[in-house]
Amino acid sequence: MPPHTVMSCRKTKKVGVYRPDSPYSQEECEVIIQKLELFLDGQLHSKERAEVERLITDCEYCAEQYKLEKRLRQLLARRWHNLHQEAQQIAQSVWQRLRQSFSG
Amino acid sequence: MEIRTRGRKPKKMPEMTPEQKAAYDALFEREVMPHASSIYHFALRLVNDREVARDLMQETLFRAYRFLYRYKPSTNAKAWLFRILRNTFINHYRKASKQPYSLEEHNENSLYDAEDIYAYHNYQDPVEGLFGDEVTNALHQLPEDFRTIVILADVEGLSYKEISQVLRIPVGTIRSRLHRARKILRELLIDYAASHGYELPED
Repeated sequence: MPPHTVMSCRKTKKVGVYRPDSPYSQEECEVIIQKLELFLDGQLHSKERAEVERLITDCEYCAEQYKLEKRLRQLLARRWHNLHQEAQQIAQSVWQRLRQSFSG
Repeated sequence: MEIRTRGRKPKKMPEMTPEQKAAYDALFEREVMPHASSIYHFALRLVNDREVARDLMQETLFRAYRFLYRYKPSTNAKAWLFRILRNTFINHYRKASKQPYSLEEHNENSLYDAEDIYAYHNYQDPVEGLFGDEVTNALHQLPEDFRTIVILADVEGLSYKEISQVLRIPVGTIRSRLHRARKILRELLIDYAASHGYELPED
């Protein structure tokens, strides 16, 4: 098995290594990786979506970048569920005061 | 029903009959109150301080009630509320950073407690266990404009178009700022992501 080569000229930090035995060239992977953000944002047309889906299914390196992008978003999207009740209490308190303040 | 606003001409809400007032209140309850958690969450992410977020939320709800007559029912209430919140944050934060806070300037009919939204001195004082994580720290390393867009997109799940409505900037600008912000976050969080569930491949 040929040695793995780290991608060169990376514009952004990436995980994993490009595998020369991949069915896709490094350039093809780079093009797809650039589209991952728009892919996850649902901003790609069906043809481009299909292209990205194909590479993240077939190419281990692209799949790793995809998993990282997704993981980062999951971390950011993590909500403080325990604050729901507090938010409701604040809102109810304000609402009560609003009704009193503007009651005529 | 006259309302004094800081540094602005006093605003008047429309005169309303009791029936209209009841309908106005019902609209507020129906369109605004369901978004309380999102407002609070956005505020917390934005300011990273529980007390300030609480006050920011109160101010947002207050303004939403005051200007509800301008809101078109069944449109995007969440985006509308986020816009109010963000504008409130920007206006008062900028003012607070330029001049010391004065209680005398504050609205006499204040809806707030003594600890006030404009006292941004505690701005960077995170509440232990809630805000001190890597993700929040990374978010707060972003410039405010970038941070807001990331929160709206990745935390609140708004579309580019909705973010554009909230911030009143073109979709193309949203896209490019979001890209740059995520690039910074990726650099900051890649190791954290790897150590919290994302398994790096074995060579």
